[in-house]
This record gives sequence, structure tokens and C-alpha cells, in this order.
Amino acid sequence: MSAFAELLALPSRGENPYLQEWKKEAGRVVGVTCTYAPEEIIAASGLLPYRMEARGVTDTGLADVYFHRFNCTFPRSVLQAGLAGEYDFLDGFCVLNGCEQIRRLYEVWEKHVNTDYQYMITIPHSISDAGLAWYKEEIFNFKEDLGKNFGIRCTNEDLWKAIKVYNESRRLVQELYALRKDDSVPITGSDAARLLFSAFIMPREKYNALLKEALEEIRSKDGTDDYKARILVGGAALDDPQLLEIIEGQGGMVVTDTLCFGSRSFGSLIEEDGDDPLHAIAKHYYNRNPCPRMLGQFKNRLGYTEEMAQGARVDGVILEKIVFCDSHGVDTTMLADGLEEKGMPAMVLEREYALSDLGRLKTRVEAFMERIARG
Amino acid sequence: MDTSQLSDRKDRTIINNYMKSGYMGLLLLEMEGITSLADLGGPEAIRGFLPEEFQDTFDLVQLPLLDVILKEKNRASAKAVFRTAMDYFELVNRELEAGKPHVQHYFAIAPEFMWAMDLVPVAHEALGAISSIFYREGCEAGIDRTLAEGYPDHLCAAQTGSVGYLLDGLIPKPDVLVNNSAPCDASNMMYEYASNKFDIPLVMIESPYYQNERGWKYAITEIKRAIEELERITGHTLDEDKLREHVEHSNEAISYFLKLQELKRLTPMPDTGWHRPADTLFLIQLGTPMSAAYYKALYEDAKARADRQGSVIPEGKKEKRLAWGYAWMAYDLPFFDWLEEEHGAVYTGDVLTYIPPHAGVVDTTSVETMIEGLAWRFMQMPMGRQTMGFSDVWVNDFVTIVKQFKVDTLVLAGHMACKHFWALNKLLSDKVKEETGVPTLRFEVDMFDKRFTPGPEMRRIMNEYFASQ
Amino acid sequence: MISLGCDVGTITAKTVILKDGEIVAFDITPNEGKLSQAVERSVQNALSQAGIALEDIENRGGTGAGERYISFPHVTKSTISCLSKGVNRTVTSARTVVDIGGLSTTCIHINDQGKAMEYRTNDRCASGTGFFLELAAQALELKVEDFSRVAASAQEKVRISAQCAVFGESEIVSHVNDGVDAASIVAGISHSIGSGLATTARRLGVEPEIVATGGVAKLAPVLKALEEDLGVEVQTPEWDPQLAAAIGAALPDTEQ
Repeated sequence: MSAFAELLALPSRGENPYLQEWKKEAGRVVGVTCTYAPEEIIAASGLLPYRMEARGVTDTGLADVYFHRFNCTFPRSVLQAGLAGEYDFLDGFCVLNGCEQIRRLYEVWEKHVNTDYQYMITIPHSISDAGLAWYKEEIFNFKEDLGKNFGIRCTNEDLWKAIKVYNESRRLVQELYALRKDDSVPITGSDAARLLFSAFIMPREKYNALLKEALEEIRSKDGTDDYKARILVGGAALDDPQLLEIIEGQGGMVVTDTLCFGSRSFGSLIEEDGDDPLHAIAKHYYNRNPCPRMLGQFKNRLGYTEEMAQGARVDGVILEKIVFCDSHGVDTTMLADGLEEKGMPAMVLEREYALSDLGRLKTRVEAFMERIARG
Repeated sequence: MDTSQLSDRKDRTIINNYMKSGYMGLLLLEMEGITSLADLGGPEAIRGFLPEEFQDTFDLVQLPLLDVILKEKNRASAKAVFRTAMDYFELVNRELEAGKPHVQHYFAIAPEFMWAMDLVPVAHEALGAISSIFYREGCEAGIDRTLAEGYPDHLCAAQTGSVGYLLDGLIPKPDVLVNNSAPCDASNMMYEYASNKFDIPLVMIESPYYQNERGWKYAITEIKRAIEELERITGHTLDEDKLREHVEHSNEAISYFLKLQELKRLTPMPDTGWHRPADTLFLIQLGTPMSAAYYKALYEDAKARADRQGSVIPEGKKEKRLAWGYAWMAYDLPFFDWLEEEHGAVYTGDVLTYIPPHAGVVDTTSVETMIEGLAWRFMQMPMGRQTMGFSDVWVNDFVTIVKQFKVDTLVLAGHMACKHFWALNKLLSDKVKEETGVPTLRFEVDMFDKRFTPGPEMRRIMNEYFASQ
Repeated sequence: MISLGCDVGTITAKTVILKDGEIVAFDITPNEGKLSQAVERSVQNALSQAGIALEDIENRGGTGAGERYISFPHVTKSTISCLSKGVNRTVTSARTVVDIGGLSTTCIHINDQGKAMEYRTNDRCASGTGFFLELAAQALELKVEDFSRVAASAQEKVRISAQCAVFGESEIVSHVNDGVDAASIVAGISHSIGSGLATTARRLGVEPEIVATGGVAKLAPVLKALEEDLGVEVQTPEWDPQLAAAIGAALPDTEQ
């Protein structure tokens, strides 16, 4: 199987061969819930970070004992997987207060799911020097606590090494995005997304090697310009290609995004030229293109969306939000209004974490395509 | 009330209404020997003899609420509520008239330092929520106005009501918005929206995740940072003497609040339940003489009742002691009076009217000691405290409340917009059951929008519960 | 001793006549527009079955959302209490009652005396209720009563989103349009409802023995799905489970 094919089809959780191999070699795995999680610290400590997902979880019956119908289906689905034993491979679980709903996973998980070690990293909701200092102290404490709990040392040298590996991913992914900037596109948005999702669920060095090979293969492909419109997708946590397939099934070609599993995780590099790797990590994660949970950043986020849209020569923006998500619930409408004001067509699409009611989604996307289809 | 205090600006409509409602309530309460609207000849008759400029106010106010406040047992607290509403909004109007910069802030931020900067701080949420308390129409028009802009209905009506009033120009546009990061994204996003929509600078105060020394140090830094930001934006500076004056008011208010809280441990429970929403909302007045007067009046009323071992339920009924593990419903204060009269069920605590005793007194020696004390108090403000960090705080606070207030039923009337609450609701009921054996009754509401679970439905649920006991 | 109990729901009115604790007559009449008429008819049917006149029955209890439509004098009783006592009459070992009604689902913990200790109601969400089944039946052009028979022949079940009855109904229509057979759809609906019920039960806490009541409890595929999900046996009473509250209303010692 080619590297490209392998990355496209990498299974999650129990079926993941890299995870199985890692565990067989007595490796330990730490789950993380959010892009503000400093994965480099986990990797530098010799542990495997695993970005929590619940792909394939369609029924949240066990989780709904603790959560409620007003809660977002993302934490509900992750909890469901946890309660069903699908996360028994975790040796640790690092939760962040990314949003108020994902952070509430912490206490229920602690009481009802069997993960030996849990940690909460907290990050302020606004950007300031004091906030950066708080976040830096938080990740320092995390590093120390990881070390104590797992009996490992994590030196500055280990951190720089990890930063290099993760920066390499970022460079490679930026190359991938660059391949999609022309009219002729060698890879669909849903396939590109699959490649990225795989980054979060396997050892990053191995991933880089596979991605490098995959890029070669992609470059060798003939591109296609047989699509109605170039699309940027933004909004809530999206870790499954299904919605992108629906968009592309209606004639869209997703050529870029502002998603946290997408460009926001790979769009900028950690500075490698300083003395203090922890400071470099803190600065990068804290200041990086922000999620709406970071207040006072709307103009920046709108600007970032416009920049990404222009850079990829996009015809329209689709902003998806998960039902009951307050952050994206408001932000997607604010962004859509802001984009439309500047002449960029934008639509807001509501979904649940695990897609259902596909007919409605298809119809709405179809209508948008009709509006923005290139002449 | 001198009607010349009323502003003829459209954006003072809501504030004027609150002033007038306060005054009108006091007018009715002044009438001796009256215990219901019927005693006065009914609504039409009353409307007839009210001064003309108050007739439209009468049309706004919920009639069942007026009936409740005229009852003997509720008069003292009612006078406090209406007096406070009138005086506070009169103060606000006056200060706004004087051209001072207007700040709207999240309600769980103690505003003393803003008064001390000669600003006019008003809790954003209160501007909408008080409509829900007083008026037949509530703040639904505000909510709907915000949702009409395309925003989801799972947002919290605490903000959508006020934001709707801003959109319609019925409340003044603030010069600055001050928000803290707790409790939630729903409230935060409405501040982000208002800031961008109306081009208002947004000052953020981070709520620390931990209730410890490190968290406290961070909160101190954040309050100082907010003061600097406000100085930069408004050109006003913090005056030590003013700060001391306002902190003395709030020290007095908090100390009466805590004394009143102590009284809720007694059997029979001596504090009437109908005014709980006001007890939370009038925390927004901390730092003004009104807030001290308010909690003092409530305390004295309850103390007098306690001293004679009086109760708030009819003679012969067995007292049932409820704690509201979420909070109250703003749109139906008579509901809490009905619970007392119909079922002998008293209202002990809820998450929005509980302050831990150690929130205490702020040392007024210097600006430094005052800011340190205010920062600690900021971490203890209702809802802020229980949502800043781990859910253990909310859960453990209720174990404390159930034990201390001798509660026999935990009622979780969960606000539909509160994702926090719903994600911890079972942890809460389980822990309370485990530690105290007390059962939970659970149902959904929207705290400010009566359409979600109307009054009759709430009564049906409570009737069913008590009948099954 | 003869007693009468009337449970007036939103979809049906139910009447039970007990003689010395045994059921001697019962009736279930659907609400076809005017609840008061359904009540009237149900009571009359039960009385003629028993061959007795209303005036000869001293003990009469009424309960349910539409209890106010009972025109004759009676004692109003809490539905929670009626369900609890109604089950306890014949199943003294029951500790959890799962009532699956027209518009709501209720789980009750009861003691050996049939007293309700704690309960949880889901009355906000049509998912998992009789109402959702009616919507589904319409979409499938079937009757709800046919569901058991139809589901029995299912080879597989399609996934129906359990989150919202509105989306669920829309999904059923999509499946029908895609040519999926009714059996698979009904199996899917039953599974989704059963799972939803299991969640409601777990929220309260599952204490055996569990007895299901209400109209939906008559649908074998739903009960089976509930049992499988909980991993615990779910009984239905030997009498019609839709009568539980009416029986409780007829019992003299049911709390008011």
C-alpha cells in the first residue's frame, strides 16, 4: 500500500496499527482534546499524543446519562467512546478548557472512565502578556506533572527535538495546501482532510515520512478543474471527512480551510531560534490563529479567513457549526455576515458531530453551489 | 420620585421603566391594610387612581406579582426591592446625564473599582433580566430581536435580552464592555458580538481556574489590568477615597447578605422566597448605598421573623425545604410564593444566591489591600465561583447547602442554555444523594423566557412531585 | 370493594374497574378530537363491561394530563403515584417502572409498598415517545400496532438519528425515498427508541426488577432493544401495560 493510500485510510482507536504497535512496545499514550494542547511536550516526554475523536460513534446513549440533549455532540461522542471502553488504551488524558463543554468532560471522565492519569491545562480567554504567562506556567506544570507521573525526564533538548518534528509536519502540510492553490487541483478537500486527521493519531516522525512520500505521489497526479466552485470550510471541530464529501458531491472543491484540525494546526511554525523551548511552545499555541473561544479576536479571525480565502482563490465559504456549540454558533454568523459585506459569499451549515439528516445538508449545499458556481 | 429625573431619550426607555416601576410599587405598598389588588377594587380601579404618568407602567407590570408583594409577609422585602430598583436606576440615570462614561459589565464582576473611576457601571444582563422579573411581556422582545439577527436559540437569554435592547436602542450604548471569562462561551460570545457590532472596546478579566493562592494572584493581576485598560480608554483614573467609600458600601452589603444566608439554616426558615431573583440581580449594585440598604432590609425582615420563630408558610402546613441546584425563574416570582402557600415549600439556597462565608470583608487600608480583597471576592461571586474551575465547586457547594440549610429536596430547574450545568447535573444529584440521601427533582426551564416552561407547567410539575411524596 | 380508576392521557383515555383488587373491566379509547368525549366513552364502556352503574361505585380515582376532563366526582391522584401503585399491585418485586407514554417517558424508583422514591421525566422531547411513533407510522403509511409484526421480518436495521424527532422523521422519509424496506426502518426506529429509553433509565439508575408500562411497552421490538441495551430483563405486566396508571388510580391507598 502506498503511503498516500495508507494515510487516507488510517483507522482510529482500537484498529489503528500504529497505536497497536506503540502499545505492544510498552509505549504510553496521552489523549488531548484541543489544538491548544502542546503536543510537543507530550512527544518530548516519550509519550504518544492522541487527539481525541469519536469517529464512527453515532449513538450517545451511555454518555447522555451524564450529558444532556443541550450539550454538544462532540464531547458526548468522545465520552461515549470512553464509556464503551474504546479509549482503554489511554494511559493519560489531558483536557483543556478549550470550550466550556469539552472541559466539562474532565470530571465525568474522571469518575466514570478508567484512565489512570488525568490533567487539566487551562488557557485564558483573551490575549495578553499576563495570559501568556499563565499559559506558560500551566504547560510547565503539565510537563513536570507528566514527568512525575510517568517517571520520565523531559529536557530542553527533548523539547527542541519534538518542536523540529512537529514543525516538519507543519511545513509538509503547508506544501500540501500549496498544491491546491491552482485551478487544477490534484487532491480533493476530503482526501486532504483525511491526510491531516492521520497526523493526530500516530507517531509524528512516522507520519512525516509517510506524508513526504504521499506528497510525491500527489504531485505526480493529474489535477482536475472539473468542479463548480472553490470552497473554504471553517467553523467547529471537524475530524471526519463526511461533510467535505457532501460538499464535494455537490460540485464544490474544498481547497482550504480555517479548521482547528486543518490549517490552524499547521499554518504557522514554532520559532526555533530562541533559548527557551517551553517559551517558544507557549507563544506559538497561545497566539496562533485563534478559535472564537478567544475573545476580542473576531477581527483577526475574519481577516485570517479572508486571507486564506483569497490565497486559495475561493468562490465561497461554508461555515459549519455543531448544534449547541455556542462559540461557533455565534461566530459562524458573525463571520458569514462579515464576509458577505466584503463581497465573499458565505453560508452557515448546522450539523451534529456525527452527521445525520444528510438529505438536508445536501440540499443546502446544492443551493449554495447554484449561487456561486463559476461561470 | 421626581419625574424630572426621567430622561426623554429613547435609550433610557428601559431604565426609566425600572425607575417608574420601583416608584409605582412603593406607591401601592404605602397603602395600609391592603393585602391584594382586589382589596383596592381590582386592576382597573387601581389603574384609575394612579397618577397618569404611572398608568402605562402599571400596564407593563405583572399583576400576580403585585398581588404577591401586597401580602403582609412579603411587604418588607417588596419595599426593599422596589425602593432599590427606583433608587439605583435613578442614580444610573443621573450619572449618565452628567456625561460620565458608561460601562456595561458581566453581572458577576463586583463593580466597586468602576464606580471609583467615576464611571457608570451597570450589569449588562440586568438590563434585560429585570424586565423578565417585573413585566408581563418580560424580555422576550429583546431575545427575539437578537435571534432575528441569525443567532442560535441555545444562547443564554441573560445576554440576548439585553443585546436585543441594544439593537433596538432601548438601553444606552456603553462606552466600554467589561467581561470576565467565566461562566461560559454563550455569554462571552454575546460580548464579542456586541463589541464588534457597536464598535465598543471590550475589556476582559480572566477568571482563574483554581480557587487557590495562584488563582487569586492572577485575579489581582487581571483586575489591575482592567483598571489600566479602562484608564486608557476613558481617561478616568482610580481614586483611592472613592474606592474606599464604595468598598465600604459593598462590605456592608456582603456582610448583610451573609448574615441573611445564615438565617436560612433556621427552622422554620424565616426568609420569604419570592425575591430570590432580585437577591442575585441586586448584587449588581455592590458599591452603591442601595445594595447595602437592600440586603440590610432583607436581613432585618428575616431576623424579626426568626426572633419570633415565625415562618413564611401557612399555619398547620409541614415545612418542606427546597434548594434550587440551578437557580430561579425570573419571569414568575409569584411561583415561589405559591410554593410556600400551596405546599409549605420554602426556598433555601440556589447557585445564584449563595456566597461562601469566606467571601467576607475587604480590607480598606490601601488601594492594594482593596484590590486584593476585591479580586478574592470576584472569585466568589455567584455563578462565577461555581463555573470558573472544576465542577467540584458547584457540586460541593450544594452538598454544603443541603446539609446546612437542612434541605429535603434538591430541585434542578436547569436553564436550557447552561451547558455547564447540564454537563454536571448528574454528578451533582449523585453526590448530593450519596452524601445526604436527598432526592432530586429535575426539569428544564429558560430562566428569562417564560415561553419555554410557562408558570402553569411549573406548578403542574411541583404539584405532581408533592402529590407523589 | 369496587373501585374505578380513570387515566386521561393526551392520546388515549383509559378506565379500569377493580373488584377486591382484581380487574373486572377495562377500556382504552383513543382521543379523536375531544378528550371529554373520549373520557365519557371510555368510562361508559368499562361500566357496561362490568355491568355496573357509576352511582354504585363509591371509590373513584382520576389521573393523567387530561384528568380535568373527568366530569364526575372523583379523587385526583398523582400520575407518578398511580403508576407506582399500579405496578406494585401485581409485581411487588418491581423497583423501577419505565413508563413509555404518548408524549413523555418517566422512570420511577419504587419501594416494596409501591411508593415512588425518586423519578425522572423526559417530557420535552418527542424522541422515544408514542408521538414520534405516530409520526414514523405516518411516514411509513403503517399503523403503530403493525410495528411488532413488521419489525419481526427485518433482516437488518437502518440507523435513525436518535437526537431529534424532527430530524428523525426527515430521515425516515429519506430512507423511504431511497427504497429501504419498511421492516428495516421499523427495526431501526425501535432500536433508536429503545436506546433512548435505556438512557433515561440509566439517568435515574437502573434497579431491578424493571417493569415497563404505557402504550409503547406493547411494542416487542422496542422492549427488546431496551433490554439489550440495559443488559437487564425488562418485564411487562400480565395485564395491558397501558392500564398501569388507571389501575393505580382505582386503588384506594394511592397517594393523592
